Amino acid sequence: MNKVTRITLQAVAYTLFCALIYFFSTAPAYTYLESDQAEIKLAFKHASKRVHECVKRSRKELMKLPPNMRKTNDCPRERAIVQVTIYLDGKRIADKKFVPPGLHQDATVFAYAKLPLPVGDHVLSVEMRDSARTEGYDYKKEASMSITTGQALVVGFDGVNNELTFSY
Amino acid sequence: MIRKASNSAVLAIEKGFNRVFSNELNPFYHLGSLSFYFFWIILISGIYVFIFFETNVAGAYNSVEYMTHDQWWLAGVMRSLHRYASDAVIITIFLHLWREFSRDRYRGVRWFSWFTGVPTLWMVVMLGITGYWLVWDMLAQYIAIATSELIDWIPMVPGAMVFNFLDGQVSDRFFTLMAFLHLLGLPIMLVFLLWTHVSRISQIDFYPPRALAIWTLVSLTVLSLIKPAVSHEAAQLTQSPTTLHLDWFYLNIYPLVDMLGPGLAWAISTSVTVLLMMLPWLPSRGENPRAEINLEHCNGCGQCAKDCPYGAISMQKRTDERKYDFEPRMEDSLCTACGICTGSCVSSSPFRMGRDILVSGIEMPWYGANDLREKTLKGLESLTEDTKIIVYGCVNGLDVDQVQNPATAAVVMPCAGMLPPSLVDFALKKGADGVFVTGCREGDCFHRFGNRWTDARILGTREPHLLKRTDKEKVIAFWGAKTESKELMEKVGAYRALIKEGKADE
Repeated sequence: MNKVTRITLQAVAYTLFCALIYFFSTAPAYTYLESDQAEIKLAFKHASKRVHECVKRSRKELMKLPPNMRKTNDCPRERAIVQVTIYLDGKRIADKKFVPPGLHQDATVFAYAKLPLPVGDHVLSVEMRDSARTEGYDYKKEASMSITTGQALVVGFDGVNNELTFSY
Repeated sequence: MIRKASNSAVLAIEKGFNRVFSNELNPFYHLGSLSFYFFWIILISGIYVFIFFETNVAGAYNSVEYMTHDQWWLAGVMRSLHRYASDAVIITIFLHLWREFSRDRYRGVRWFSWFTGVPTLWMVVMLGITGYWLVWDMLAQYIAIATSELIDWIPMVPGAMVFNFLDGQVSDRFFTLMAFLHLLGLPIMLVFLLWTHVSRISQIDFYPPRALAIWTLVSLTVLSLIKPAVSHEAAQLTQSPTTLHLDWFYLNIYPLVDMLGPGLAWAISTSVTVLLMMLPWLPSRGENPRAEINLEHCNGCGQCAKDCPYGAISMQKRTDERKYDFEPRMEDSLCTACGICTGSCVSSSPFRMGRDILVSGIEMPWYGANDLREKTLKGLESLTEDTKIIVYGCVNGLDVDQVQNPATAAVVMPCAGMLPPSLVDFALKKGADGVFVTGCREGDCFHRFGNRWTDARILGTREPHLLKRTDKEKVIAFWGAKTESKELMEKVGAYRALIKEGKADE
């Protein structure tokens, strides 16, 4: 192989190496959301209600306990599963359950979920249950909105005012 | 089976590159040093970019935009170089990984480099991901949220990281943490891992040959000018990204997270990592017994310690009564039983008189200097033709058994570097008309330096070397891969004819 051919082929090798980088550094393009889509992000931290009510201990029961453990109320630690149901234009699109973490199922729930949302005018309704009840809901929020491409609608929970929130 | 096919492919590609680049400049023989070189480019370009970079949420994007558009001629080029050298390093690392697997250089004693290389790769990927994060554009936002989803998924981690990226602003504190990780934390860990990765080999080539380094840098600079690295739109937490131009070298895990969820993405990446790390034991390689030191035959010259490719031999103060200052100390866990130390030991000389069995200062109990002498003598005795050629070859290179005939004898060794130059003199003295030495391709010795040391010993530039009076015309070296049997047959045949012709002239 003569020198010119070798140099040419070396240039080809360097070009191919760079071409690999040229292409895969940005391509193929990845579509996270289509142009007619937006996204609902359900995201909040919330300590749900206890499953069992606190029971007041009698004097007799208290005396049976070691002195340092004589709390007047006996409160079982387990908290209720947080259940969130989302309706879009009257149609149920999600029903999510969040089990409180921890060995005793007593810690704060970190609720997080993503749902696709079509672009356009919608009525969004969210119901949330955070107690031991088996039917109905504890909180509800509904709003009409106009959604644009790529919009991130965050469904949260305001722990101070005890209400669901929509930010978009 | 897979490895054999893979090895054939590697050898074929490398053969082509040898023809185009030469053995010395073949990039496949410098993948490790090229990776180090790319890290230098990343470091230098990164330092320049950092001068203009603002490590806060509000200023990061605009500072990167300034570099890309206003000072495109230097800061922009540096930014692009920073990105493309980072991509290049992923290519060289994966080629390095593929090559070492194919050449079966990841098992046995060499497990450590392979094992530590896997977390090193992860560290490089994390460094790349945090780098993309710092631009704080829509891609960075996407990465930040997807990474948080991955981390929040881990059961023992309190799942709250993703809440940093919902409504409202990302805190500067969190952003500074990312900047710290990318600029200092992860690079320090990477340096530590790289040091660990190469700690079991000696005489490491940290820099590729100059021509390769220059032309690689030129290529990446041209690429930076043709396609400058640009950002997506500025991050906006009330928006989700639609189309993203991912750097697939680093960010390929994220579409997987979107598609399969964080749990499965973790399962796949963890399984691949564990499988890669366990590969040296699937199955492990049965190693030959290590080299042993015979102090009564050692003069403490230290050449074996200089020549060992794995740093398995070090010199320490003499422990016996002899007059020499030093003696070698063997680290068994580093020895691959290549025999290069036997080739470098002056006591391996077959001319040593006064004993029936030749014992070298350092040799393997299963194949020592005496075995080499005996095989040489036996081989020469078996030759019946007038022109006698003896071929010394290594087990990892060309198959020398095929060249045996009434005029040619073959001696196989674990590595060509095991050949003591005095054995060449010995063979010529005992009736050989020519000595043909062969082993792995130049620049690609299975045991790193076997062919390089042998060449230098024959040329007389490295101790121990051939006797000055030895006719160098009678010694020839040919380096080639296992797949080049035809070339070996031709070379040996041509060499035999040449020797025969020379004899006839005499």
